[in-house]
Amino acid sequence: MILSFACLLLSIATGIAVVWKYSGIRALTPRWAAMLVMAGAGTALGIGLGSSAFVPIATLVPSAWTASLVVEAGVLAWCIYSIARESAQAPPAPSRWNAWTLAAGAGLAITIVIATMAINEGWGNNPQGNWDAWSIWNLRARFLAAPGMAARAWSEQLGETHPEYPLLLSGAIARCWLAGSNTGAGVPMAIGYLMFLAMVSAVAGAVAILRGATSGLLAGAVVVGTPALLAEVPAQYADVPLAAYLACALVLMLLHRPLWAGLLAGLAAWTKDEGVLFCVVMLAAAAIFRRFDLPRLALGMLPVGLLTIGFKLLVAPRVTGLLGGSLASRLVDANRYSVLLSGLGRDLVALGTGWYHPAIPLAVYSAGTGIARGPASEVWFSTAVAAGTLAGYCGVVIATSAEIQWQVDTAVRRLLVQWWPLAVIAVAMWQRRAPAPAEQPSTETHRDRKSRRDRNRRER
Amino acid sequence: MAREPRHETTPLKFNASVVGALLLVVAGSIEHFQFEAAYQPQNRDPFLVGMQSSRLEGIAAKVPPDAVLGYLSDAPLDGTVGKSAFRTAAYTLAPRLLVPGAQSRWVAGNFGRAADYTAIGREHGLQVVQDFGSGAVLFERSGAR
Repeated sequence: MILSFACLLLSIATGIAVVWKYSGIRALTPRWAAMLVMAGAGTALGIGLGSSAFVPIATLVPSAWTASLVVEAGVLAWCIYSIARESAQAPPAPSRWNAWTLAAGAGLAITIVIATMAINEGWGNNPQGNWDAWSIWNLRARFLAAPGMAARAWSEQLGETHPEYPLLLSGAIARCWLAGSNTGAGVPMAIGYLMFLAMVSAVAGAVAILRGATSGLLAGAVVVGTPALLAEVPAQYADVPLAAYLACALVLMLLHRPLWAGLLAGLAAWTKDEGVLFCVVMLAAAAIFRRFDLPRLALGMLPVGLLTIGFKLLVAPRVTGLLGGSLASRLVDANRYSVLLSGLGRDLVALGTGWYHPAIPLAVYSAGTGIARGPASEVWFSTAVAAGTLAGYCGVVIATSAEIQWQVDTAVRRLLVQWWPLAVIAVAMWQRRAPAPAEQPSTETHRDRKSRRDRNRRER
Repeated sequence: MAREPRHETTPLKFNASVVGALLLVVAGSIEHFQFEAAYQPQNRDPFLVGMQSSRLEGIAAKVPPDAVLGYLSDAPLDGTVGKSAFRTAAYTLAPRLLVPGAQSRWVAGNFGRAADYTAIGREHGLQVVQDFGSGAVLFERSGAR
């Protein structure tokens, strides 16, 4: 088990180190927010790239997979060495905190602790996760983790358990299981939880950079405190990792890192089919609002996107749902729209629990900051991506050949869970940058304050 | 000279919104935790995935990991009970590939009620290799050895 977690930590550390060294995010301020973005995006990137490399290796040359670990460790060592050299030459300026930032940070930390306690209830009672975890994702991970038997993960004989689904989550779990020679439940639990934290970290950090520290930490707290999202973490489905990739891709685009955004969006496509739709939405939004960044965004999507397309077309060419039967008659069937809208309304409410809904604190804080007319590349781009993704999801539910009531009852809640962090980011982009003096970080040190007090006293 | 943009939001309004939002998020998280603490123990392992590893470990020990295993059960596969029994067995026995029917050399029997397993096997041209108890039985195609 220790080796399993060591393998997971290696991927995460490599991902963070690569983002730290090459993305340029560390130059953004405040520094702690840049570190949150790097930690979040790096964790998602490391787990994703580790899995993306593992699946082809386990399939084609199973004996060479340990060599990939050595390569990964080498990349990590190089990044650490060069980061350490650069840091020694130019030590970074210390971050400064004010009272509201500290309060929001404490709020986020408390929310994470309570959220972890709630997640732990699910882990304790259902360590194997929910139905799809052991019948789809972790089952396929067991095949991938067995030397020479990777192809069983997309065997036609798996029947209803979707052998055509992408393999990022199963590959990430299998890699750690293989390293530890153990298929314990701790690995899928840890991956789900770390992807959840990665998403929160990236959202909080990016919003802090773009809309102020308090806004960022509160946006993170709102994402953490989303009951429906929390319920999906111990379920061990691919929806939380997918939500993390969608959120990371959007924030990296907002931070003007289109190549990295494309890479994360490509990993979303390799996590679940909804990720392919998200890539299309991102490209369309970039074509309208960020034309200059479009080529680099598309280029970033290419490596993992090609893996996904190759898998879908050549390895597991099974098309589910969309094109079967009469598509035209489904598209004009008013009853389907009515069922979808009622399910959408019900499941939007079900993002909360009891009296609480995560939209309430978001609305309260937005009322305090007011609405901004910020740069279109932030406000309209994030809104277009969030709205386009939701519209795309609705379109797929309408178009699919599955029975509409069953589709709405089983899928819409999880689609909203994937989408919700995008909505939080978009709302945060509409908020005015928090006003001075409460928001501006104090540049005054303790010594400055003391000398100012002494000077005032002397003047009096 | 360009003028500084004027903030319409007062610091008081902003401060109140920060405090309000923080309290709401923390209280909401507590609400969710209380819900989960009550709900999860009532839904402890509803498909009995956890107990399958001890029930089926005998079959896993006898059959090589690269085998394709057939599957026989007294619960129909199109029903919820039969489907969940098959899926949990498929997960527990992986990387052995579990396939419904008795066409393979090795066949896993997963029964909810005690029965004459020898007779069931004979119907499908199988012989009982071992009855592991609790309805877990390993069959092998007659004359396959």
